[in-house]
Amino acid sequence: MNKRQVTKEKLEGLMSDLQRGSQSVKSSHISWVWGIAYLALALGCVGFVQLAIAHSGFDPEIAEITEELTKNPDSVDLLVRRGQVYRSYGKFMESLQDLERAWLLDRENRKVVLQRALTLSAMGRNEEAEVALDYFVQKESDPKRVIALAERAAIRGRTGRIGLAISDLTSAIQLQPTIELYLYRGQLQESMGKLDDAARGYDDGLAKLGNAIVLKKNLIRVKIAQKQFGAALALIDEEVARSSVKTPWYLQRAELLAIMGQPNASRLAYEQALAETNQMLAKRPTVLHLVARAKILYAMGQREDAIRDLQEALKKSPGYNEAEKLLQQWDGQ
Amino acid sequence: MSTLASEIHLVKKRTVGRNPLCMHAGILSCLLFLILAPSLSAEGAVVRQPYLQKVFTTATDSSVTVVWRTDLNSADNSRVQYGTVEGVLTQEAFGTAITRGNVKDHIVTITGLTAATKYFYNVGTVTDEVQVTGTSEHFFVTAPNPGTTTSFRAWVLGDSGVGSAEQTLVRNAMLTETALNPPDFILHMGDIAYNDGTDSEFTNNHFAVYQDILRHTPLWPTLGNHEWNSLNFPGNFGPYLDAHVLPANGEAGGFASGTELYYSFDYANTHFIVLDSMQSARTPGSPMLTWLQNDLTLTDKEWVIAYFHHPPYSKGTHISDSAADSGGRMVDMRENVLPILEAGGVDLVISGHSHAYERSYLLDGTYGYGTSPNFVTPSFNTLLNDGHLLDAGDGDPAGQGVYQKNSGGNSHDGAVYIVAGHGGNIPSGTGGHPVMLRFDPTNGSVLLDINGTMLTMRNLQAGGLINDTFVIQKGPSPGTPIPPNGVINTPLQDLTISVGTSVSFSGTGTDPDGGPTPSLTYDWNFGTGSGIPNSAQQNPGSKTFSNLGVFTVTFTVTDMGGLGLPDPTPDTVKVTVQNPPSNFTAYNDLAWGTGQLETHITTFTSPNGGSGLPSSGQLVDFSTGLPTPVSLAVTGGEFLDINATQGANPTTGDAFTLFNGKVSGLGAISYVNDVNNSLILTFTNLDPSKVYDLAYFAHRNGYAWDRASLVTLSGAPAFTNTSSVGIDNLGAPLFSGAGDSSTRLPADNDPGYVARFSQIDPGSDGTILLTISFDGNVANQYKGKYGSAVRLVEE
Repeated sequence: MNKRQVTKEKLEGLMSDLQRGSQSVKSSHISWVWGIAYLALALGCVGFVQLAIAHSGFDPEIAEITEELTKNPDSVDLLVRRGQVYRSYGKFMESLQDLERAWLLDRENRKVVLQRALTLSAMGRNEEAEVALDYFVQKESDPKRVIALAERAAIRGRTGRIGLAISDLTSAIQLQPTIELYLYRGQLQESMGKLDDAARGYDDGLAKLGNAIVLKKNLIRVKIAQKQFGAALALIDEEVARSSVKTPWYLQRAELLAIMGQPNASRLAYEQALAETNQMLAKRPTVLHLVARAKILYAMGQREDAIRDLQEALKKSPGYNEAEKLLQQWDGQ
Repeated sequence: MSTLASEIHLVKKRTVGRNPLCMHAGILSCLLFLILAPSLSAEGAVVRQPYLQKVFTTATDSSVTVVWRTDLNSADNSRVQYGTVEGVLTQEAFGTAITRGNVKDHIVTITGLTAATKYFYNVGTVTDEVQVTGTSEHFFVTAPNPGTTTSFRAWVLGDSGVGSAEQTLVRNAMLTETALNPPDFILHMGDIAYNDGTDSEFTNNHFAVYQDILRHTPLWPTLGNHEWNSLNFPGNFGPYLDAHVLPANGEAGGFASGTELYYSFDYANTHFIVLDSMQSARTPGSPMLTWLQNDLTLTDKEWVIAYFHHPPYSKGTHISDSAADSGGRMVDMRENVLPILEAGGVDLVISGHSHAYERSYLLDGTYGYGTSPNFVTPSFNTLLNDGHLLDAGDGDPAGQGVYQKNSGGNSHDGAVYIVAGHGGNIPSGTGGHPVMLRFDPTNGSVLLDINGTMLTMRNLQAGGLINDTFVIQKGPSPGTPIPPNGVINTPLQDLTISVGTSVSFSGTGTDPDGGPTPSLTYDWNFGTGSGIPNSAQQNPGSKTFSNLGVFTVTFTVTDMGGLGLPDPTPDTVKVTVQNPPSNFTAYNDLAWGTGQLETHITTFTSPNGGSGLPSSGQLVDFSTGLPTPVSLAVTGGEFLDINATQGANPTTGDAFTLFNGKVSGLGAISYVNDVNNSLILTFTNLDPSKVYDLAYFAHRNGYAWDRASLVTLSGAPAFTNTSSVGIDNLGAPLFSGAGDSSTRLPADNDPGYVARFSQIDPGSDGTILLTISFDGNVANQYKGKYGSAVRLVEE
């Protein structure tokens, strides 16, 4: 049973008490109207408290752990758990209080060290967090080092020590490759102008994690930035061959060919994209396809048709971010 | 023994405070279960009974993954034996067990299955033989072919894994209700294993409870906040991910996400999108949302269903309007994710987290209200007046009627939102969210049925009562006549041809009313002045355009049974007929679909490589794009490995002069293994009164070795060999003189050599052949049949 239910039951008990009160009052020959008044008061109380609960961010999971902690206040596990949940809800002070207390109870407990470090980092207390993470990385050998390495990389990244951050991320990837690690490392490498490294990293990610779309797009972007147009084109063509719906790739192919100074080939790719988008629109007339067609038409010089598609998209999907941005951009030209 | 322990533990847990007789009966039934249960090898005790993951069918394959867990005594060489007849398990698939602490997870993926087919199976290892003997209940049914309208049923379950009596009641209610038509798969909304999603909680509160279902019904989960407690992020490991094998690579349909935290899959005519509302970033432009947008753009399925743990609308145990609740995840999902989902034409959104059943009206665009921390949703009347409640009825065919939507995935055509967090944890909350039509704080689960263009959902209480039903119907209301639809299949787009050229016409007619196709009539009109008579054939085939002009070809399909139907809109294609170019220059790229640099080239290549490119057709003039009278057909050869065939553009020599900037040298073709199987380029319909110049270029970057192609011209009474002068990679000259009909080309061809024949007389039949073969002098030369591009000039 969670705290909310306890509260609710208490209120229901109060209501029941009030109802009993009303019965005794009734038995004393006082008007039944009093009973209704009491009942209304009780119902009002329930509603008010529930409204208050709703707007205070009350959470049954925290309530449940809190109730367990009242029985076992020195439980490091419970303190860590509540600290984690508080952090996940953005309540960093409450999280730190729990984790500091857990730390005082068991300074050698590495789980505590790590969770405390994560909360400190979330609070922007970088130096303290990094000290704790250094300790954890040195002492811990199991895969949880990945978490510490990634968090330390985040701290180092936001404090301008990009090289060290990249090094941490590389260590983390060696332990447990994930898309988030690859993306973050690539972003840092790109920010340093290390495009070769970034491309290699994305490539490695694609090899290890499968053909993740976000990594693939980043790799193509880097190849274009490196002016390795042929390689970028080959990557796009892989997707053209692979995908059942090719529009996004035709579109990117067309843009790239235009950069490469091949207007005829570019136009052909736009036409292919347009033909397929029209087919998709016939089957699934979604705003996503309308916006895609707008981009194609605009690139093909059909500005008015493109704007008409965007307006149609915004009519269907008011405030649709991408359509709004494009319309502003094109209207301004 | 651990299975016994967990079963007894569970029974005790479920029967606390109840009749002791029940408890003993429970324990006895457990013991009986173990006596009667499939035999366990002493070599490896099963800790988790087998369960199914990643059951999917693509255009090319049908696949199932079987997972089970043993203690460390088991061997690692996991094996599943299977077959379509119970007890006759003659086929085998293998895997390698993963050791996790003191257990081993066996994961065996079976591919090459037949779609929509029932298979029986047992599990074990090669060393230990059978660990779980297959019974009539150990089976899997492969997914139907994607896009088909096969009806299916899903069991929607959320917040179940508490190990409570209520959880069992919910399960039993489903089993009773679906006894005659069990679910094809389970969609789990998260909070699978309370309190922290630990390994033992998964075993006891999930796998043990549902093992009799999971052995034949795959489960597609999303991450709940309780599983998150034991998730290690960004390492992405922990009991939730250990327990599941999910399609991170887009293998089950949709785009590859690169992570098992969010993914998508296709089943029949439905695309399912599973998001992570707990851990992954939910901001615009974040990896998950970028992936989502791409994934939605790619799907062509009739139905799109999305699910994730945190509900965008709820007043159950959580309040979705409050950014303070659950770290603002519900607000994030509503404000950032729903605009993308609705723009992508989502039909149904399901969540958990709030321990109740809540169900909305047919909604659209209900977000963007209020500011942090309280994003208060306006009242029902305001939403109705603002046009956000597209249908404020109950959607119940027995009540106010079904929700009607257009066919396909029209954006903002309305979606229904469901909270199904009532699968086991104690329900509570006030309800009353303005978008919600139903609120039921009672344990239960939801049954989802999709049958073609009809989606039905029912809330099934733990006590067995169905207290909410709604239907979404795609397309017009039953009984409304719909015009048929005609689509021209070939030619795919407008085209320009030379006079006298033939074009193949074909089309497809469909009748959305479901009437038999023979009831349709077809009418092809090839344009006024074309001189081609109309055709009533569905596929009239080749038609020759002998008159100059621009002709609009129309394809009209008419439904014979549809009295009073509007005329169907004819599909059209424009054919422009011009005089053929003379004295043309034509390039053909022999690559596997990559690298063509200009528009006015052709890409005919051998049909044996699976490139999908045509193997024959008319050459086009490079300067005008007009078709020439000359046709090229490519035959022969045998493709081996595209990865070994990447060529390069010429940077020097005659090849550079003739081909650079016109046709790419990338993607050269490779033909091997059959010494007699030469690649042959046949040019027909050459003008006997003219002479031609034919040049051939090959490049296979970094693969010189001792290979070379022999390029031979035949069918020409007269010609002059004007090939590049040089030596091949064996040190031999390329050709012996102007009268030599053959020229050797080295495989890597870095010097940019071409085989070239000038002043070709095509003879009276107008046909010449270029044969690319091996020389036969050296062992490896039979592998030397390469080609990048060819140029033909009419002089």
